[in-house]
Amino acid sequence: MGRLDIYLVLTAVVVYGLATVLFLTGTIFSKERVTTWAVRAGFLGMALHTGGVILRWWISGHAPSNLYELNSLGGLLAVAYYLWNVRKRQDLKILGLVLFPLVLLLIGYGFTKFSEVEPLKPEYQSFWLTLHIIFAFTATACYVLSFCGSVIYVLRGFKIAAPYLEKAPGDRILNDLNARLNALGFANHALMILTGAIWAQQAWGSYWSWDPIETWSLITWLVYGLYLHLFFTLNWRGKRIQILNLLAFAIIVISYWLVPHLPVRNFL
Amino acid sequence: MTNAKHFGASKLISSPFFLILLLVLIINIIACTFQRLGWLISNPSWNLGTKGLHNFAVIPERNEGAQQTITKVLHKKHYKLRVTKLPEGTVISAQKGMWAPWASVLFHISLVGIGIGIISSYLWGFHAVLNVTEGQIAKAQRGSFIKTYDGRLTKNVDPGFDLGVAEFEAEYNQGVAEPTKVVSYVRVFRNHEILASAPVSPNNRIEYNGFQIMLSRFGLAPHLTLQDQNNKVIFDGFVNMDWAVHKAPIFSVRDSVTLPGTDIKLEMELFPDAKIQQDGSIISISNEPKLPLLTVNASENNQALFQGKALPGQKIPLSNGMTLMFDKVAYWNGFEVSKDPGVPVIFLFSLLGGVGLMGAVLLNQSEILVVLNAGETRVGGKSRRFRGLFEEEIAELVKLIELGKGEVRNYG
Repeated sequence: MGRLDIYLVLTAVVVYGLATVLFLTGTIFSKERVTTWAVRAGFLGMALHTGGVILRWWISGHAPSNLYELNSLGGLLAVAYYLWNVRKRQDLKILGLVLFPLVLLLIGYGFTKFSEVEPLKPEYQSFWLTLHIIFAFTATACYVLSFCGSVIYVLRGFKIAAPYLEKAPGDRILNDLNARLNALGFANHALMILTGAIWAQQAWGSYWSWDPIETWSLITWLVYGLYLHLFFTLNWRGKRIQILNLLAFAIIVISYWLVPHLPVRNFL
Repeated sequence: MTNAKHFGASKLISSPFFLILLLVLIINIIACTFQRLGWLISNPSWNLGTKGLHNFAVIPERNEGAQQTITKVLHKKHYKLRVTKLPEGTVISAQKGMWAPWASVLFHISLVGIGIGIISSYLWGFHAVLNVTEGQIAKAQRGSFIKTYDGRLTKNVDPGFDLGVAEFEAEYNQGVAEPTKVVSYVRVFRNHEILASAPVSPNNRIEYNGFQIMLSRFGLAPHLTLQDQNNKVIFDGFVNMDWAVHKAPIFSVRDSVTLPGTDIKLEMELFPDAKIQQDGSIISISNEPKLPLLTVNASENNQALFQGKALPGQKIPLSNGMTLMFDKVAYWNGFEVSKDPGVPVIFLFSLLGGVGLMGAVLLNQSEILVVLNAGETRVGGKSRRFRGLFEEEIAELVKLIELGKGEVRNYG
């Protein structure tokens, strides 16, 4: 029972790997049926992954807190949000080509930081932290999906890749969808910052301390704010807004993976 | 290098250029918000107008039952419908998301409100860290705090009470460095009279006289007494060991201090639950101070005075004739004492901002106009945002009413 959660996540990883291969095959050989099977594999992987995450939550008695659990939850939410969108729009299936390798990387990174179930430190025993984590990864799921859209958009600009990506939504639709996803991510990101500040006050007595993680989270939010203003107010469209989106995602990667490992005193 | 430091290369967040950028951002938000607000107030109809309305589809033949299908489909998509009979035909006007521009403005005004709350706390608030050792009282007054960030307008904020720790409990699971439960039994005094008494733990703070008191840190503090050659006490007190090293399963705490009023420097390592192994090395089998052992490396002006270990109650003779005594170990607690007058304002505007942001993200202001007459049906529309998706919606509408013959044209 104690290991079942890990086996479920590992099986989900194998299924996501299979989905990646199917997406690649379906796209390269223009086989719509293969791509449909890739999405089905995604659904199966999500079901197994959900079981694993819920079981781990139940066994530990608390929300995901260590890097393994957080990456696993992040991957699950990204897949779930992708599949939910695919059910609404079939032409978004192609985003799986970028999404599943990303999710594999995310969960794989989590496994490199694997640790057994541990009781939570007192400062982590907070309802606000659970909310903070859920909003954080919902925002990330939106941003990840939007990133996938931008990758497809930019790749389509290359003659060599364009014929394989014909089934993706048109440029104008992709522009709109990415902006909508980023707007939703931006709202969740705002809630993440707010709940994080309340939790920080409860745990350390200060709402905001300008520590590197907080600061980079704010920087990321402001960059996505810039994206939304350029899109909605200044009507930026096409390649330049997609490249900005890719850069914004790069800042997420810096904030999540790089900043926590930097020596704090060098930054502040 | 000095210029780089002055510019803020080493202290990014409090550097002038960062603060200037922050100020520019705040001015920008305020200016744009009021500009948008002015525009919205001067356009009270809040609609997109009929000017610039685009024909998406012109269907040359009239389909019987089209009106019913159109109203049903648009109603399902949450459009507010108005059907008008005119000599030219039946006009179906559909609108949704009319509040979207206001939602966006509400969000931006809320950012300004949050800024006001932050500035209020910055000017009139108080935030300080107070360390209290178990079984002792510390005066929560200026000068006692390790660090203070009090309001810029009220430099002399004084909580006016003393804080004592009657007892401290930390529970550890075996083999784990981090505690699973931490409780500090705090007493608030004024003139040695107990005013309040409550357990404080992370995520469970107490409030006294408008000041929030919360436990943010804790550590171990050995009690040391230093006597000179004539047995005169030079130092007598707890030394808070701040630099914690947890290397499971060997738990120990290290720190280096210079005893006040002397040049004697002590490099110490405390093993809370010590066990001396067969090879002579020391380990601590838990983090709880059950059987503490202190290793001391004492020196004065780089001259070694003593190097060795001590158990509680043991006297350490120093080579300069003085005596150092390690009596016992207690916990010290670090309390954050704060007052944030801007917080209610921040919460209020955060709530409004959340509503505004959700409205701005989820609502899209759009209008669809359908004119049905005997000869043809015209479908037109306008959307403030997501025009590509809006065109798709119109195309879907045309398809759904099965008129089929309309040509969906690109938005101009």
